[in-house]
Amino acid sequence: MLRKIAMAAGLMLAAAAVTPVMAQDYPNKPIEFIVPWGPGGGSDTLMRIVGLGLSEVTGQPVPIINMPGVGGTVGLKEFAKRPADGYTISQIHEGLLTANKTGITDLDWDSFIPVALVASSPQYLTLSKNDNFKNLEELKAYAKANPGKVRAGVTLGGVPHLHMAMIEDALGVQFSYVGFRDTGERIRALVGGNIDIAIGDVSSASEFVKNGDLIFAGVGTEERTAEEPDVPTMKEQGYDLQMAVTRGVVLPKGTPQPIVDKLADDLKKAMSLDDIKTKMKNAGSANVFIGEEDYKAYLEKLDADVTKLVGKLQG
Amino acid sequence: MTADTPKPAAADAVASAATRARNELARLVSYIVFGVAAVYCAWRASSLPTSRWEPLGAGSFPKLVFSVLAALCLFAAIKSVIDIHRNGGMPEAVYAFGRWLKIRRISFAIYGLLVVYLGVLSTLGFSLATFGFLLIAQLLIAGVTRRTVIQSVIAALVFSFGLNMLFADVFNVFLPRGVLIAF
Amino acid sequence: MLDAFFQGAHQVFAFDTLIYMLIGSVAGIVAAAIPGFTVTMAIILTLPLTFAMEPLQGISVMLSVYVGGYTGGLISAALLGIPGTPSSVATTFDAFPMARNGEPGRALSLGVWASFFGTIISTLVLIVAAPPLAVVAVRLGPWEYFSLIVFALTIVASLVGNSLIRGLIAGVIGLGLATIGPDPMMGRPRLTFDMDLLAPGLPFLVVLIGIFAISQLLDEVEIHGKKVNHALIPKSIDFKTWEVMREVLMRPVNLIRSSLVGVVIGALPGAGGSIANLLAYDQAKRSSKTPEKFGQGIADGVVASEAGNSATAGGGLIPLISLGIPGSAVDAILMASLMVHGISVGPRLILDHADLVYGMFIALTVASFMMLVVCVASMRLFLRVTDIPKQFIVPTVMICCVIGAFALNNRMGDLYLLGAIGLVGYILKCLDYPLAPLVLGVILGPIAETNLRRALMSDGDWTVFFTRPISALFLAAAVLSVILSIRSIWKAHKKGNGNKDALV
Repeated sequence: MLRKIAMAAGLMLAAAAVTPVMAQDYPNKPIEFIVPWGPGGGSDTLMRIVGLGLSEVTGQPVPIINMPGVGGTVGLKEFAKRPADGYTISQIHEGLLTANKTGITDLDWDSFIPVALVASSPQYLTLSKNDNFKNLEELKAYAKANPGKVRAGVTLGGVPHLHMAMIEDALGVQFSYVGFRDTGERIRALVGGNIDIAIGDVSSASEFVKNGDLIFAGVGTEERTAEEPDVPTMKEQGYDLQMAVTRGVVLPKGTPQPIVDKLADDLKKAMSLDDIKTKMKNAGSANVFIGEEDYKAYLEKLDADVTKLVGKLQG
Repeated sequence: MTADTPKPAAADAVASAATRARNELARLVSYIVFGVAAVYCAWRASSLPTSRWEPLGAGSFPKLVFSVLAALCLFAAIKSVIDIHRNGGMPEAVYAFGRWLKIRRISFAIYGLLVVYLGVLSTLGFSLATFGFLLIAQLLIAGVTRRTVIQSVIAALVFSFGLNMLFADVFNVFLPRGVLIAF
Repeated sequence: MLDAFFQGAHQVFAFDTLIYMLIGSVAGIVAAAIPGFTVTMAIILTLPLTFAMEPLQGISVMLSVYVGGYTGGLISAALLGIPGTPSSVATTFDAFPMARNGEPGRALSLGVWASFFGTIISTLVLIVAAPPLAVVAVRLGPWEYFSLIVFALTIVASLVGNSLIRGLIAGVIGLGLATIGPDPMMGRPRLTFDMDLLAPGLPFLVVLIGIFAISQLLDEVEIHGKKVNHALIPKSIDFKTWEVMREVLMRPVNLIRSSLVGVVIGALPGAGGSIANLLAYDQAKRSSKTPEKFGQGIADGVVASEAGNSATAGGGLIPLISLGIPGSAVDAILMASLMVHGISVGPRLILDHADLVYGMFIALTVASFMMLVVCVASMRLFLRVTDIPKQFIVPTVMICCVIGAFALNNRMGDLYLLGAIGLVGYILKCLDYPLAPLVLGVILGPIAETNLRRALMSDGDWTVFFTRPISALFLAAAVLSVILSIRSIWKAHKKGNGNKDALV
């Protein structure tokens, strides 16, 4: 038994040493997908679906490995150390940029190779049912008259904080912040009337809106979304704000270009499967696919935006 | 915790004054260690930056907690010193402390083994490191005879290589891999 | 309504669903019975499988894993003295001594029956009172949460064992340990001393395993200088299944009180089974006529803790089903699985998908019966574990703990922390510190701090804690609880229980 195992070990070692990095037969073993967040959250659910699609296209298992901690940076730190052979992939979103700019981590989006943007959850300015305001203009008027009176639920130093700061800036008002860990917690406090406004998304808040408990006052997309066609965009209300949480797949620095291209290709196929499209939509993401170059350009622009507002996030 | 009480507590109740003092001395040391650590942490916590979003900053809660801990430890240590004095003083207690360690030598040996195991886990990989840990630990507890060696080797194989295969192949859960060996 | 009910029943009682549920139930029990492995882990492994199932089928399977998991923790708590899951800490207090006193069969049976009735009672509450309870739960603000935690902290008094002062020190150490890592509001590192190891903080599961499992295992190897090679528990294969059922039912007050504690705590998002289990135990001890027998293997203790933790299963579904707000990590995964199927979980779930909701009620009931059957049928097998010699059990369980601690977050660093905390736990145990208050501190500390800071961000005024009625009620309960504890300690001291250590 022992000898067999020793032999097997030796063989594996040898195999690992001689396998050339060839894109034609990539992938020929399971691809580990490090999700730097805990199970059950938005990133986890969406990336499990992406993994499912990728596995369907490549014929290889794509096990999800949750590695949460310090705003998603623990998993990415470990990921950065993995071999750049395409068999470990990971995910980033806007949170990495804010964490970098506020000094939580040295890692940045360009510490990795962005492969493709695969999920985008538009963010909505969400209001609780109250007597003071029912839409954006009323909110603006009320907040102007009562500076610091409106309690806004955010994740301090996180993406929702960034979005709220953008809104504050655009409306020229001042809110008082209350910190929450995630969107679910924020929406719960909003429904319970313990805060007045928050940033929400379709998957966490739309049922409450339908039920009349909450109000979507505006969405941070270019055009109205398919899911909530009645909700005006921030842009058409006169404030050119882009608010979305986008999630993209990344590879470690140093991964050979053919592998990057092959993965981008496979992801594109995966994201156009009907079943995957439905599931992504169900989990609150718009059906998007932005390839390598455009994704990089998107991140560059985002980087500039975050840098501009970072002063507002530092406490 | 109440569930643990029968053993040490019962032993306490019947123990001689010397045993009491020995236990008390060990506790006194623990009060001092915890107390000093608490003071240090409270000091570190008070240098944490405050926040412009909230009245309480990151440091307030830990500062409070560690200050309370320091106070509790101080109180406990004073009681402890009084108790030791009453039960016959230090020298014997120091001797007894050595015996206390000796009695628990296998426990500490197993613990030492665990530390070594965790240390080499990321180099040797789960299967190999675990095999070694299990084999040595089993023989340490059971003693080395022909029978125990055979039993231990089998059990160690099943719960190291076998378990790793189960997790990797059935559940797609990957346990730590070694640098040298890929599984 | 009846239509929807039958539709749901039809789906749950389909043959393949029942088979999957049975597998799920066994998987949940086994995962929870192994120290270090958790229900969450088992559920995550089930999640991808449910993507391919019908929504109700997937949920039913997850629910049976969930219910099985709340019971499975009992097995290692009773037989090894190690909580198999975070929610079976209090179970070790009485089930373990009971098993060591030669009644392992009775300890297991008591726990299984208490779990079964706890789940059933919580399911009933869920069916009858979910919407109003959920509305109350969601309106609770940070003030109420903070006051509730202050109240929960007072149960330390019931957990201190021999020495109040060491109990308090252990509890405060727990609070302190939980402050290490990113601070809960800003996410900035705190007391990490610039070490990567400490940067993510100490995960609760790692502390739990380190404190309870490692220390218990090390202790097991050597008891007072004698090398012990024989099995951990004397042989006794007497389950008296029906007799024990009667024994459990003869304690209706304890059973119902503990279950309700479980339901209420389960219904509060963010609290969970680990608190319910300790709180139910504390309440049972306080209202008992013989509180001094708690901790020595009393049936009431087992019933309270197991009914308490199992009832959080139904309790946790209350905010999920009526509002679409998950009460725990496991509930969040359940919700994700529904969402992927295109079912929007929210306040309209019961209107839009009545068949699914009724199906969940039925599945929960079926799952608890399945758990009962599986446990009763396999109890003999579990007891065999105690026949295995120590040299195999101790190292192997240690390996399971290592796997569990790693698989949680896939971080190597967590394992080093496990090693360090294990040593601290063992030393504390040797020095006769009670360990449960420490774990309680680790659970409650972050909730207390987060809500205190959140409350003051929402409203800078401290008096709000006293002017909001529910918050004031909890604070009053906390004061009362402290007064009662002092009185009972005073009484015990006056009686002179032979233990000079009692007060200090």
